Amino acid sequence: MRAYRSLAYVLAKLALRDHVAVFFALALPAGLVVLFGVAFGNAPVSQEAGRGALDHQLPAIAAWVFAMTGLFSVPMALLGRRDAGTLRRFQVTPLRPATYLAADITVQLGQAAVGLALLFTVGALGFGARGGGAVAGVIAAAALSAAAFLAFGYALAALLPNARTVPVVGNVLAVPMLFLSGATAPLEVMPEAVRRVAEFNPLLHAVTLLRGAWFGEPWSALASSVAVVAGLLVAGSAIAAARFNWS
Amino acid sequence: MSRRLVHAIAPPTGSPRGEVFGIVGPNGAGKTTVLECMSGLRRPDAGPVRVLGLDPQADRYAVRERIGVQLQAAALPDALRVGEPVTLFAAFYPRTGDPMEALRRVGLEERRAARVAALSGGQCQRLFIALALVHEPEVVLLDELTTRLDPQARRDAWALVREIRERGATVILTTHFMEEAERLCDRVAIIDRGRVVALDSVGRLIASLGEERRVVFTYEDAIDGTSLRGLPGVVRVERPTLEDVFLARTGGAPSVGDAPAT
Repeated sequence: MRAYRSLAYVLAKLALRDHVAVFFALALPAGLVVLFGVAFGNAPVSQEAGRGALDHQLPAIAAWVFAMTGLFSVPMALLGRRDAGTLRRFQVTPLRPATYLAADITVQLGQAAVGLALLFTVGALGFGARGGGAVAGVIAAAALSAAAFLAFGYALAALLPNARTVPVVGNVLAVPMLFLSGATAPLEVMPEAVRRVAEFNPLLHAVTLLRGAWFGEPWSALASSVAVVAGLLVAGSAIAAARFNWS
Repeated sequence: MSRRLVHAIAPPTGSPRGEVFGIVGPNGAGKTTVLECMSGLRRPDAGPVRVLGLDPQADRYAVRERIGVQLQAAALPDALRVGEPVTLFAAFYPRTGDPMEALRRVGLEERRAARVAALSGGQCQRLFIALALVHEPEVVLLDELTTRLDPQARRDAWALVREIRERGATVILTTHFMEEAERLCDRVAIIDRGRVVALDSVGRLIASLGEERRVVFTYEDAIDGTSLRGLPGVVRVERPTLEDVFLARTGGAPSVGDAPAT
């Protein structure tokens, strides 16, 4: 427990000192909300419940932040320390791998939670964004999505050879994930085959899940998205646990 | 491959004695492999390895609680401040002393608020020694501690190693500087292509080559070595090396002063 607390404390300090990562995790999402809010406003665009553009987009931005954390921030941090030999140095101490991962997950989750709170606060206070769903439901959907993409990140870290490959692989995955998420371009206008492929996109399901919880839709209507996101969590964790390596 | 070596250097269980044990050999001889097997980083291809009577694979955490390791290739995040990893590593061990005491021992106490990135090569190695000492280990493994250090920093590191021995820990170090092994180690194993080719105290290893005495002259002018070499019984004639000059001009102890008596 002492090792976990000390390690989480040091990793949190390192995260705060990495100004680029802080920008991507905290400032960029909130900045996107401001940009989006200023550009499109939040006047009701659809007949349904008088919802505005930002009401629709807030949960999508939140899901995107989780995906970026998993695709870039988690593997960069882990592989950067592995490449430098820091993890190998940890390995010759009594520190358990599970303790290291628990501390790292705590810091990454904490960072995602702060980014999420900032994003919804800016949206709600700055532009009057409203969802209507229960706060507990939004938190549950956010926690599941964040955990799934973190697991995805640890699986990537376990499979990739070094930190230099992270931006390449991350971008190769991020572009189609974003394009086929329904948040950037409506899937309805895309050909049938593309829509089929999009059904396997975890980001699409995280957006659906978060948006559904934000709008207060019943969980039964979100079952397939919950299943896909939970599947990512299980598969990612299994790969990460099986392939984790200190060096 | 290193079975005999590892057996020979394990101190008797329950009575760790202060000894500096050197492993020397050409690049690729297996020096680092031996230390990796001892710290449990590498599984030996064959043969038992025992450290403090324990198996570094099966009892890895029990072994790691009692050994301190300095690895050849390891770096800390640049953004850390010097005191932070020492406190952190102290939290990894069930029983530890004052982390700041470890920094004091290596002479880095005043730099504890500095960024790791701002340390010189020698200071960085001293920080890694502090990390290896923070839990008062019984066995300390040092892998090419002084390879990238300048001569003065190398001598500072030697003083630290002697201090670790005086406190009763066993130090096992690898080096490819014969001078370092000669001055620092009580016993030395010479390994070549994975085999121990010699293992004994430094004095006996040297004596095994035959009786030899060293006579040091100081001359104002350069002398002609060939006439000395022609005398009966003279094995070789040495001149001061550039390292002696470097140390004399940069404030290090002149190497003649602490040359071992032979």
